[in-house]
Amino acid sequence: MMRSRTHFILIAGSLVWLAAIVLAPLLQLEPVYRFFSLICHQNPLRSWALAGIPLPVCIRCVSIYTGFFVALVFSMRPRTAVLKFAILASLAEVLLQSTLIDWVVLRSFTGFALGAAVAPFVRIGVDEMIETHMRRSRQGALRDAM
Amino acid sequence: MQCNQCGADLPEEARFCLQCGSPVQRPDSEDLTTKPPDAPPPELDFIRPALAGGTALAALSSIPVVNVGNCLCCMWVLGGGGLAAYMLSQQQPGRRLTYGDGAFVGVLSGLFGAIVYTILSIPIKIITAPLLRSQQEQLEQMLRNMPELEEWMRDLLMRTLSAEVSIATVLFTFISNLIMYALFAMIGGIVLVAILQKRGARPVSQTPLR
Repeated sequence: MMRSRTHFILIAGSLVWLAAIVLAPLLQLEPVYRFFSLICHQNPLRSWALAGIPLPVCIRCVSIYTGFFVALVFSMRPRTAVLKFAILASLAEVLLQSTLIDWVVLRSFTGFALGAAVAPFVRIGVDEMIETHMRRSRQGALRDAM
Repeated sequence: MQCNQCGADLPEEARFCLQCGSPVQRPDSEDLTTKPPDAPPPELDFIRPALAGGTALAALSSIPVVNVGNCLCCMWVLGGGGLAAYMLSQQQPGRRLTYGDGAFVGVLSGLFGAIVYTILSIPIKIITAPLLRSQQEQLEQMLRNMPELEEWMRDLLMRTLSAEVSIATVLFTFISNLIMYALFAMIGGIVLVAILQKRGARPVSQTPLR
């Protein structure tokens, strides 16, 4: 399958994102922890640890980002039904975790599925946005200059 | 339909009156002649939905206790992007949005949201700092009870949880939020467009994908 330039940028971006998460505890990168504190509770009890230090995001977040990256690498196709199922499964898991079962494997699996289901739509969305909106605004700027 | 000259009854498709022979003037004839059948649909207004989505996500992300929602996969930011995409879809209900439209309005709402959040969060932090002190003490206690946690990590978490307001923290938060909010609100916009799609339908891209 032919991959667009946007696809490669997304793969590289998500790889950097994951690398920052993994390297943060190993290299004690404080800014990375501060950056991810804006979108994650960073509870050490709900995070995986590397060399005894918790990662800057929780288990669910790591699973989502990993699923996102894997789906991009394998050029998975967008499926609306899968996306809806993954969203519902994640919501159900959140409800279950606070009432009945708080199971790490389930949290990781639903997170991974959510990330993998979203990624193909993001790839197409970003591609279309660059093709239509960015190009249109560039053409408009060129027209104004002439 | 009736003749404008003699008032005789005419069939719908008649172009001339069968009684007096005068040309029939249709009330919508001007529209039919001036508007080509395949005219492009009017442009979408991305700014208003983006402002609404951005304001909503910034408000929910800056109110203490409510902002905990962002710890769940950036829920408010995704929701802000989704709200913007939904408002965009309501501008022309018959029109099918592309994922690119959802992404674009999401990015805009995320950028607006980061600006509004920065403006809102400073006074909110100053006002609520005394109220949140007891909560912070509890968290500090919890961290102290974790001997396996390294000292630098404990200090870092304490600083992250603190309500201090300085130029450095505001600037760092603003730049980080510009990136985070734009990305996550974009995903929210795209996901909403995907969910709004009818079964079997796919939004038609304006340009072919490579």
